Amino acid sequence: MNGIREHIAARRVVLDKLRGALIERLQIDRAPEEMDPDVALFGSGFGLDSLDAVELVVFLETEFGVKVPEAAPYLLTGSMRSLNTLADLVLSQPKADAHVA
Amino acid sequence: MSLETEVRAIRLAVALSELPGRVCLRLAGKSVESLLNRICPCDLFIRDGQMQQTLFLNDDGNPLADVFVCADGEDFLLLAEGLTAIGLTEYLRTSQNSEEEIRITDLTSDHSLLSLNGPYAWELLSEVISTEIIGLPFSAFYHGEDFTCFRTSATGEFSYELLIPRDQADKWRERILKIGKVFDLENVGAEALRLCALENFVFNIHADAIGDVTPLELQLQWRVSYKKTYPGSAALLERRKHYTHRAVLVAATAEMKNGDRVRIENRDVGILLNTGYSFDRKEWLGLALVDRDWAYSDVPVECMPGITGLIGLIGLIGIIGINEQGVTARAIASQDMTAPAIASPGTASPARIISAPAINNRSLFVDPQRHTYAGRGEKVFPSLIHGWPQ
Repeated sequence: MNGIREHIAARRVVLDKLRGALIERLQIDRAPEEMDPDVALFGSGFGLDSLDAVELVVFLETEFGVKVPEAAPYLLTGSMRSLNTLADLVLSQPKADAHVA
Repeated sequence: MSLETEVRAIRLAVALSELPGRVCLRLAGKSVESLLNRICPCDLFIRDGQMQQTLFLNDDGNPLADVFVCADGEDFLLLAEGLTAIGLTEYLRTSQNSEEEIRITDLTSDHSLLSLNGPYAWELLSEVISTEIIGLPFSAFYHGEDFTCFRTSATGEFSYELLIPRDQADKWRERILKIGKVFDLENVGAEALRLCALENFVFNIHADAIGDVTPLELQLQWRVSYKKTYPGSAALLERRKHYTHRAVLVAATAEMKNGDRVRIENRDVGILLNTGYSFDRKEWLGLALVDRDWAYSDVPVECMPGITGLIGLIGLIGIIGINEQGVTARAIASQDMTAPAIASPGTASPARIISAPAINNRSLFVDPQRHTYAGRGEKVFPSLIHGWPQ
């Protein structure tokens, strides 16, 4: 069970950083605890747009070292759905542990 | 036609459905905007032709209706589900001050609502109506000669709702079906729409708003403000201090049923509210209310057959009713009290909490400026199951 708790702790760190990025960089006028993790980032939900997407990509690379394969940009599209899918992306990166620790 | 065929049409082509539970009201009068601002939990920021998704809550903060507020010139349209036209009108009248002048017309009394969902719904509609439809943004609507077209979100795919006079509904349906043949259009029912909404974590007021749940538990805080007063606002502010559960998606290879218990470390941490089989994921999905301490993606859980009837109700209350507010009468009234109160012993099945949405919608990758249904085979689209290379 310690593994589960460690996993939860790691995800919480990533989610908190992502919430912070949405508030500080994308000016989402919400308190962090109001930003539910499965809410849609684009369209309904947080209502982000394509400019916000670019900002998020930069943040993911600088903060978490996320690299999008040039040949497969759709992988990023599929990950930019909610805070949780972004966290999935971050946590699946080989360097994620180093960044999160 | 099988349920799987219906879901495939929604996910890969176009699906037509009728929305008998949907209500459309026209609100007119100089006091409408102030009334809506008073009862909507969100801050209303909409211009003419735009729609904003919100909820109508009771005084305990429980969702009563899932609502699009549409600004239509000096009037407003409400596109709602969860309350009947009479119930919705009553809700509005109850909130109305005596000096306010508001005229309410139930458009669905003599109109039908047809819904088109799918990655190529825009293309079919462009042939049925006009190419103008391609430029209709999400959460916007416009009036045609004899219809109103709303662009909504019901399944994660391109989604449109057509409000048409009832005496012309057959004509419209026939035309859509005729043109739809080349799009492999299917008529789909409520169950297929429910499954697709579940896969996409789209709120379904009929299936998800079970018991004493509020936007806090349902991950619907984006639809509410904590800075204004509206029906249920005081309850939400109080509950925000100590709510214990969050609705998350759970996936499993073994069948899951509504009412099944979610367990971690041999103790109950949640309950499944809304379940179904995902044909694309080839596994069962469920919306579960899970203890917030454990409600994180990739957490392995176990699902145990639940308890139905009165004991199940008590179990549900035990899980979601742990708050200083106690359990509302609505929570009790909303449960099925007719089922036998028999515990299903069963065995635990492995499951896991997953991130929403559970589907990598094809509509994300279909560009109306470049793609067509006829040419779909020329492009390789990503899998409907998202994932990042490990």
